[in-house]
Amino acid sequence: MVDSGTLAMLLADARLPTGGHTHSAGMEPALLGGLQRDDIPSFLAGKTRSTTLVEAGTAVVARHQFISEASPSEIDALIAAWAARTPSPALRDASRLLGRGYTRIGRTVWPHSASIAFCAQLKQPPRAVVLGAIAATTQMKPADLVRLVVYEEVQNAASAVLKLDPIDPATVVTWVLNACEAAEPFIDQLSLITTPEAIPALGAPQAEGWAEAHAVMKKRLFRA
Amino acid sequence: MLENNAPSRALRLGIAGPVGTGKSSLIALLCRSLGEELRLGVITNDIYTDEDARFLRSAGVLDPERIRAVETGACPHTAIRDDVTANLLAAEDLEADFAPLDIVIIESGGDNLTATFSPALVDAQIFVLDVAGGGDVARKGGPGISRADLLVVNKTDLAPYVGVDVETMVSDATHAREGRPVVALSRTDDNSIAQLRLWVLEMLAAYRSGTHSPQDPGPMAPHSHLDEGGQAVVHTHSPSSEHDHDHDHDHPVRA
Repeated sequence: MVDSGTLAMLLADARLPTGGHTHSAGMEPALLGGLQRDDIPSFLAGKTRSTTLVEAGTAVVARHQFISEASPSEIDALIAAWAARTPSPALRDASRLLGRGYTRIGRTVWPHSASIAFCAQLKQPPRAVVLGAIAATTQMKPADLVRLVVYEEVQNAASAVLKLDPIDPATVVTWVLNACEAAEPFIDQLSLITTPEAIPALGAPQAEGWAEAHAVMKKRLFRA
Repeated sequence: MLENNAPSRALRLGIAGPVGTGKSSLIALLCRSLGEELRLGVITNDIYTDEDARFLRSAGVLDPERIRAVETGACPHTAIRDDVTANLLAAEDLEADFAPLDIVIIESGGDNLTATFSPALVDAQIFVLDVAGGGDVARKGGPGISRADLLVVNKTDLAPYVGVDVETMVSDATHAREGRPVVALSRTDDNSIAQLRLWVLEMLAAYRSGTHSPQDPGPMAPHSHLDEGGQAVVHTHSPSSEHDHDHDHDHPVRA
């Protein structure tokens, strides 16, 4: 059995081929929408305290559902709860692409996992649900799963800045750590949730608007 | 036995090569010359998403819906080799939306001479050079030049204007490729277009019969070492082959 922390590192590693390098976790939409460099750290910290908790909470509930062998209709209800909390179609599409990327890897690495096989049957599983399935398969701890989602979102967004508004990469590392720290107060409680109703319902209307505007722009480096 | 090898999905054909060598024009040419008899789809990779997709859509060679652009996160090299996920998903979607397709053509974002497709993404690949890039490029070799399934030396009609001898360039390329096919292409030369067309049709037939297996040209650029006598030895590595020379040295893991 591979340690839960090692699995989290593996899944958060940019070298894991899941298509993550083509995403900016909302950073390109934000910068094209007018976010100024000075405001990037607050933007990242705000993300980790809002929409990222929706993603992380969904993953935790998915993990619980797969471990407790929930019915397909219960998983459908979870996906509906996630979608209701993710009002931007562009962001839902991006999450489903990432979900397919993780499913592809998961099918190869854990070929006997019924949970990951179920995600493959869903055709367009959101990323959070697939991460929950992988966590259920590997017995990853829920707190590690939450931190994985938080780190992945922040690092993805922060790394995109290096392509969009170049800056000393060391500065970006500090932003990442600070944003991860901003999420810490929520992690213990979020790790315990088991039902879709318990997933935080936190929105970021400005970021969602930027994502929608970005989706119809002609010149993009990133998917969303 | 053959039936087990015969694939059920479209042939995925990669088009790689440096910026400006005419990859998009080559795809337009393929669509024009094969679009009547084959069901085609195109995926473009660009630095800025959809430049090439827009060029191809405006060329009117294919239903615009069948031309999709994927984002590469400013890493076109990664998107066709180290992490092909975005392209694989786009190919799956295109095939599902327009089933059945015969060929999905995937254009790499113009990169450098070392960028080739992973066999995890494409079944076969064409590497494109052009005479305007210089007559010596083919001789320099590299994974795409040496080991792509087909090398196209493009824009041969420009040769007199850029002082390149096409015959020498093609002969250098053929030498670097140890006999693998080379097409000297010009969109004004119907004979060369016919050669390209024939190669694609033959590749499709080989793919369908299960007799073609995807080759990895390899990510390594050619490099040189001094041998024991102090002479420079230039060589390349293929991941599928043993060392092609017998002295020991360390190689970087990534070029």
